[in-house]
Amino acid sequence: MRIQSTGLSVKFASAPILSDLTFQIAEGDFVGIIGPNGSGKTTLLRAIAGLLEPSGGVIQVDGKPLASYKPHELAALIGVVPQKSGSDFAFTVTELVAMGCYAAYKTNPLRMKDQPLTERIEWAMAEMNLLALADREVTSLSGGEWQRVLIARALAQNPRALFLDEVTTHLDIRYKLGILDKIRSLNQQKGITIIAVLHELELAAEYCSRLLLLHDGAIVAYGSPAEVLSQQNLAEVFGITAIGRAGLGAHKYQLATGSAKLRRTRIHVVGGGGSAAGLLQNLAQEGYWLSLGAVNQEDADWEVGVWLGIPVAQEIPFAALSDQVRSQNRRLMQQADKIVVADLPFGPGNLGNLEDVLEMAEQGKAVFLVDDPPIAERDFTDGQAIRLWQAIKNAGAAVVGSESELFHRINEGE
Amino acid sequence: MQPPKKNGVLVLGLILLALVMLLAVGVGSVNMAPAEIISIIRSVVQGADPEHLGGQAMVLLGLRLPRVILAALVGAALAGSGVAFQALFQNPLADPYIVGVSAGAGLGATVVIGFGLAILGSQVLAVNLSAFVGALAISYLVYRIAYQRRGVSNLLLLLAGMAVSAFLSAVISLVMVLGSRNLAETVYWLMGGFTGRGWSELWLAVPCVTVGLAGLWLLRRELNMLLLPEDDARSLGVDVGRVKVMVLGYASLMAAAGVSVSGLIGFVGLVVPHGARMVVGPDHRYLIPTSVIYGAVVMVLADLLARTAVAPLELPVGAITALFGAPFFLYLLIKAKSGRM
Repeated sequence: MRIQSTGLSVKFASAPILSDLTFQIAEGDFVGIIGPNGSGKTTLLRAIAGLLEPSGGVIQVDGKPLASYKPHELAALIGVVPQKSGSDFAFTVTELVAMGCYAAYKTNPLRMKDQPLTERIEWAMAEMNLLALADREVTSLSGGEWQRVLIARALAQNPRALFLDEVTTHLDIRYKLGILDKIRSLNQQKGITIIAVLHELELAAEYCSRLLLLHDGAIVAYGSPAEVLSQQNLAEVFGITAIGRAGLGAHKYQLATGSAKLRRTRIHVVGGGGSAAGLLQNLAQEGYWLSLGAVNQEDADWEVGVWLGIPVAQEIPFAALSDQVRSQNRRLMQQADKIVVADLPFGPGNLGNLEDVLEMAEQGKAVFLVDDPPIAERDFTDGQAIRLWQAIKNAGAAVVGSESELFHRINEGE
Repeated sequence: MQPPKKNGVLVLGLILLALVMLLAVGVGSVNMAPAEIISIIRSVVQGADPEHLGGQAMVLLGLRLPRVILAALVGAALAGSGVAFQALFQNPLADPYIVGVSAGAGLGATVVIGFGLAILGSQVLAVNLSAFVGALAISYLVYRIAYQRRGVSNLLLLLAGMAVSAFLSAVISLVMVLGSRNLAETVYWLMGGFTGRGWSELWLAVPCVTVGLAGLWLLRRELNMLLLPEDDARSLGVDVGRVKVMVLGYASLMAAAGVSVSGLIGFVGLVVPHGARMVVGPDHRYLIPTSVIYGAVVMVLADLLARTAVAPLELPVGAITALFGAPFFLYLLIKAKSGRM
C-alpha cells in the first residue's frame, strides 16, 4: 500500500502537534517512526490511519485521498494495532479477534459465515500463539497478552498494511523479538507494508528498512536506519551518542546511552584498511562528532563509518582517490577541530590523503599522527609517504605511539 | 460459556416466557386453567366470534391477554433499550431510567396528558410521539454531558442522569399542577403499570418495539464494537458516528414506547441486561435476544405480582420493579467500586 503525505499538519486545541509533514511510503516498506516522547509519533500514525482529522495537508492512500475512503474500505486495507486498548466487557479472545473480520462482513454480508473467515481468525490467532487462550475472557489478560490479541485482530482484517503503535511496550524480551520477527516475515513474505512507532532505537534499526525521525512534530530525517541514526541526528534529537557495531553481524546496532557525554569537538579521521575501525568506535563512544575520509567503499573502515552514520568522503572500490573525493575530504577536514591520521598503510592510491593533511597542518589545524607500527613499515610509495609524514610533523603535528596516548592528548585540549 | 449453552439459555427463556404468560393470563379474579385458555384462543384463531364465547372469553381476550402481551412487550423494550444504552455509553450502569431518558419520555407524555393534547384525534398517538421526542432529547443531552475524550465516565453519567431526572420530575410536577385537568390520570400514569391498558396501547407499542428491536439486531456486530475504545471501532471499519446516532434512535424509540404505554417503570432495563451479560457474556448476538426474552418474563411476572399480591388492590408495577431492582443496582455499584464489572 502506498501512502503519500503532503503538508500534513495536525493541531489539538490550536497547539500544533504535527507541522507540514511531506513524505512517501512505498508498497512493502517496513517504516519505523521514531522520536523522543511527545514528538508526535502516535499522532502521525493516527492521522495516516484516518483516525483524526488533519488541520491541513492531504494524505493519499494508493493515490486516493484518505478522506474519500469509507471506514470499512479503509479497514480492509489497514490494520491498526493501538498502544492502549482494553474493555470492561468480558469478550472471549476469539470474539475479540473475530471483530477483525467486520470490514469483510460489511463489504459482503453473505460472506460472514464463510469458511475462509473462520480460517482467517484461526490463522491470526495461531500466528500470535493465542490458540490456548481462545476461550479466555479478555478482561483477565495481561498487558502482553492483550497486545498479542490486538495484533491478531489486526491480522484477521487481512490488511495490506499494518500500523503498530509501540507494540513492544508491554512485551517481555522473548515475545518482543518473536513478534517483531513475525511482523518482518509478514512484511517479507506477504508484502504487507509495515509502519511501526518504535520506542527502542536498536529494534528500529534492526527491523525497519526505513526510519522516519520526528522531533517537535517535524521530520528531522527519513531514510535508511544508517542515514537516520547518524551521530548528529541522535545527538540533536535525543541527546545521546551512538556506536554501531559493524562486524558483529549484518545489522546489529547498539547505542551507548547515559554515561556517554556529548562533546562539541569534531574530529576527522583519516583511515583505511580497518586501521581506524576500533578508533572510530571508541571516539564515537567518547561522544566526539566524527567524520572519515578518504576511504574506498566496501573498505572495513568505510563500513564502520557508514554504520556510525558519520560523514564519509568515499571513493569507489579499489580506485585511486579522485580530485573530487579529495576536495570533499578537505572540506570535512576544514570543518573538523582536530584531525587524526590512523596507522594505515599508504600506497599511490591514497597518498593524496597525506598531501591534504599536510595542507591542513600548514594552515594550523591540530593534527595527530598515530605511529604504531611506524610509518616506515607502512610506506609502499618508495619514500613519498615518509617525506609527507615528516613534513606534517614539522608543520606542528603531534605523533602518538598508541591509542591511549592519542585519547590522552586529544582530551588535554578539552 | 459455549454457544450451544447460550442457545440453551435462549430456549429456556422462551419456554419460561410461554409458561409465565399462560400463568398470568389464567390468574386473577376469575381463574382459568391453561386448557381453557388454549381452547378459547384456538376457537378465536379458527374464526369464532369472541362475543359468543361467554364471560371467560371476554375477560381473557378483552382484558388479560392484551395486558399480558403488553407487559411482555414493554419488558422486552426496556431490556432491549437498556442493552443499547449500555453499549452506547460503554457503561454497564446505563439504562433508560438511570440516564434520565425515561423521565424525558415521561415529561413528553405528561405534557400531552396534562394539557389534553391529541394528534389526528388520538391522544395515545400524541403521548407516544411526544414521549419519543422527550426520550431522544434527553438521551442526547446526557450523552453529551457524560462523554469525555476517553469515553463515558460512570460518575458523570450517574450525576447527569440524576440531575436531569430531578429537573424533569420538577417540570413534570409543574405541568401536572398547571394542566390540572387530568391530575389524577397523570399521577396514576406516572406510577407505572398496566392497569386498564389494552389493545389500543398494544397496537401502538408493537410497531415501535418491532422497529427498535429489529434495528438493534441488525446492528449487533457494531454494538459489540462500540464496547471497544472508539479508535479501535473506527479502525476496524465501524462508522462510529452514524452507528451511535442509529442506536440512540432505536433505544429512545423503545424506551419511549415503553414509557408512553406503561409510565415510569425502572430497573428492568438495567438489571435484566446485566444478568443476561453475566450468563451469556457481552456478545450482542446472544445478549440482545436473551435480554429481550428475560425482560419480557420479568415484566409479566412483575405485573402478575402487582395485580395479585394485595388483590383486589393493584400495586404500581414500577414499585415492584424498584423494590427488587434497586437493591440489585446498589450491589452493582458496590461491585464496581471493588474494580470488577
